[in-house]
Amino acid sequence: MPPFCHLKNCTGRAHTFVQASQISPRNAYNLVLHKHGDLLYTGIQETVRTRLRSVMEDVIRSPDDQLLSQVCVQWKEHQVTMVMVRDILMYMDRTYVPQSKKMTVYDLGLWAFRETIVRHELVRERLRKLLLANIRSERLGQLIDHNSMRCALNMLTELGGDGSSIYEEDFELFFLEDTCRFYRCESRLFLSEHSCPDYLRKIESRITEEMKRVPNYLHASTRPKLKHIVEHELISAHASTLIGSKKIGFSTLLKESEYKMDDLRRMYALFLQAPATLDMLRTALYEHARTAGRLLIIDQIKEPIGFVRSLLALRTKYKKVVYIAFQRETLAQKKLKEAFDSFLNADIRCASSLVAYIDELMRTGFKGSTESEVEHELDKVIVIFRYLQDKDIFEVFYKQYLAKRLLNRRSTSSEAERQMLAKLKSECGYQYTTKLEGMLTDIRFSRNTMEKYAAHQDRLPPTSEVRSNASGSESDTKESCDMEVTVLTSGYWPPQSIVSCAIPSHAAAAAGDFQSFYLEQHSGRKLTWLTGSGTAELKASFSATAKHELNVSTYQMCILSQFNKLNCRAELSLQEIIDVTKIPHIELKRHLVSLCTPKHRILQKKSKGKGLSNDDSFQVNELFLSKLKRIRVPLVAMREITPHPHQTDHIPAAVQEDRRHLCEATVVRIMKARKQAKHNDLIAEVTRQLNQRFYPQPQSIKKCIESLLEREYLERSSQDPRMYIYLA
Amino acid sequence: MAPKRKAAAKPASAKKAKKPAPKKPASPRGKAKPAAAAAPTQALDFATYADPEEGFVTFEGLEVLADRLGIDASSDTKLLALCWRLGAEKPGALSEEEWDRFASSPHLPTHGKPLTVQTLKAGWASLDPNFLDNAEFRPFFKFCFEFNREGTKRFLERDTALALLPLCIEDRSKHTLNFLEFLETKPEDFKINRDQWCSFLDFSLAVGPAPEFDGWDSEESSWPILIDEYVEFVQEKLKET
Repeated sequence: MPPFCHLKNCTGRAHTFVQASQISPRNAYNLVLHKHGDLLYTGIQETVRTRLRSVMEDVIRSPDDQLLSQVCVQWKEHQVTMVMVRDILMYMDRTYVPQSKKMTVYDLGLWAFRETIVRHELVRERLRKLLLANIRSERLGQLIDHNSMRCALNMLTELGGDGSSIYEEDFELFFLEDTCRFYRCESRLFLSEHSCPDYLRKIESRITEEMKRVPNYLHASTRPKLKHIVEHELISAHASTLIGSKKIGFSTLLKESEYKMDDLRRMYALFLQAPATLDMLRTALYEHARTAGRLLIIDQIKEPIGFVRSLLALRTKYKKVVYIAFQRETLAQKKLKEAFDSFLNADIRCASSLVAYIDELMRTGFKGSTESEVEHELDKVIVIFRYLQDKDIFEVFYKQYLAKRLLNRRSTSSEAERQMLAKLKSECGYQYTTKLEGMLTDIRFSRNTMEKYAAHQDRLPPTSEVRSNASGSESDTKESCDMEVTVLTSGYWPPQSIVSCAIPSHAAAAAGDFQSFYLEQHSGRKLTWLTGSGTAELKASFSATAKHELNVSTYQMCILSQFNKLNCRAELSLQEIIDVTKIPHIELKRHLVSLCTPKHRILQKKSKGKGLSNDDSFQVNELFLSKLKRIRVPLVAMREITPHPHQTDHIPAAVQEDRRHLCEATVVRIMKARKQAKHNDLIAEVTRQLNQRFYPQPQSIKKCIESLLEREYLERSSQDPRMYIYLA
Repeated sequence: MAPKRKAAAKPASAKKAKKPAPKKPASPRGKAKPAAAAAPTQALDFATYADPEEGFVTFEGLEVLADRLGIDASSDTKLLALCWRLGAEKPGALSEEEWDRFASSPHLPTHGKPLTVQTLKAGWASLDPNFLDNAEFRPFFKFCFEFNREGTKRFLERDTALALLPLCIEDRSKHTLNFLEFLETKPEDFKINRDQWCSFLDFSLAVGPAPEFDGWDSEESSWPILIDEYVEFVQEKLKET
């Protein structure tokens, strides 16, 4: 029936009723005025009740499929009727009712309706069951009449008051229970038969549906309770399954995060509605990242370059997950950082791998890259650097690699080197990079010095006139040689061995010339020639036709020059070589063997096999053959020499020593400022100050404190042994 | 005290080996010994006990004094207490100035009385460190360490500590036996420094006995690492039993 029709009928019937009861405003007024209010009141009470009783008969007899609409119709009619009655009896409402503390007419009507009809034993439960059945049908996909639902539920709401909520007691309670049961069942069933992403999609739609139910016909107060139940049954109850399940649970999704980003995003959005479960999700993310990292280390750490590349890829992957799926949430970012922190700092080789990776970039990786590409790569590297706790270990390795690069001229771009140092400086402060920058500056200055030296040489008269053999000594004509010198400031560079050997005369002459030039420019300085490094280019004639240019190390130059003074067939014994060149034994072996390898047999040695025997002797290999004109002789690796820094997983001794000094200095500095401090405070402050560089173990700090106690820099307070006092 | 060191081979021999010469001056006093027993009213003067070469009263002089007092120099802590009250600054030596405090120090039985061995002997019991409360005992305990060092060294040898510690601390600590057992696990050349020595006392007063070690906080222990190791040692030992 169209709604207006309904109302009209209601009003019509109401009118009839009122007329039938013979109440008019005037009568009512008079009755009350003459103190017959109670008569009027009782009268109207009775009238209303009688009416409702007959209504009830109708309602009871309605079959189930009509009950709901019947109730709604009756309710509407009742409302209209009571409004009319109330209007008529307004005077009574205002005077008699408050005096005698009775319910107002309208309320009276409500109460009567409630007791007579709604709470009638043949109505109450039936009504409720119908309401719930409707909801259930709707959940199962059928359409229901929202109007009647809304009407009925509004009715229940209005019938409440005076302390009890009919809506809650007669409907909501049961509704919530029903909902709970329904979803518990459905979710369990669905989850057991479907994959997690499918399940997530399903509950996403279910939640939307449920929330729509509130504006559709439920009372607004039900909303939070409904939400809570739905979230609990659909999300919280299954959270751990969703995270850990093999049927494409969270962990699996993470593995394939490239393709499953949508599902991850949905999962996060859903879990967001039940905040307690979010922590589980974050923890799962942390665990996953950490495990992946650990596995990566086990798998690939032996190949540092590959390792770092995979590491960067890993980080990008998880970063994407956090940004897209987790909506850039700070807590998730934090968890990710913790995960990377934990596995990267569990193994020192990560620091050295990163250094090796940067080395590769500097040597070859940056060839042909634009400045912004370089910047981009270095930024990625710095991100990893930030995770490292032991930044001082990184520095030691970086210095070693940088030195090698600079001295062997392997760096693609000095601009890139500078950029890297600038980034390190902004991370750790200028003190961190002073030495490294000093190394770069040394190279630049050396180049300037060489330019000046070249200019200086040009101004000198030709060498052949200067060197005269007037004395008739046996010194051979000193043919000078060209020499390029790099001057290193000793404090900046990694420690180099300073044992020097005897270099051939022409090299010595060139060195001497440079030295006097340099010392003239910078008086007060001392130059030490590092014969352990450096290369030389020798023109070698093995026969009339076989002429080659050999690129060899300084030591090798010394060894080979010895053969110049002798006949071509002559032999030199190992001992003789040692005696003349004064090269340290271990190094000598290495450089000598490199000259005798099958590939570059410049010298022939007596003994067979790879090694050298103590009474070995050598001669120039006349039959030396090579296709190349210019040959670079590589150095063989000797295993006795210290292993590649990358292979150790202990903290280098130099770093440990360094840390001890830093720690002690920090303790003294803090105590000097504070004069006294409690043990815990001191430890905390020392840790805080050193943290930028490395993480000091509390036990090591304690050792430093004890050492300082023994040396009487500090003492314990006599009142409190936990307090230290600074001794000036 | 020095005589006790004779029992522990190394430190004693090291000490004796250091100064062979003064043995000669010791013998004239040695001859005097039997005579001393007969003369209890002997004066407590510096010259009698001092080593003429060193200009100090050394362990040997103290041994003589101990003899005359009728006590055992190696086990009587009152002798140490005496040196402490005299304010001995150098280990194993008393200067003349310090010796003079026999008369001036109110803590000594010879204060205001004739400076004789007799007086000292009569009031000997008053020097017992057991009379000191914990606060007063601390500086005395520290002194025990300082006085038994060798020269300017800042430590005690392990064996010296093993002998000295139980003697000095007596029953103020419930950890003594365990700690000695722990020390014996250390190598012979192990050394104890002042902080460790004094901390042992503080530790004994602050932390209850094994196995509970009440008052012990392993996370935030500010005790010397030696004490931490000691506690772990006992805990390990108890786990095994």
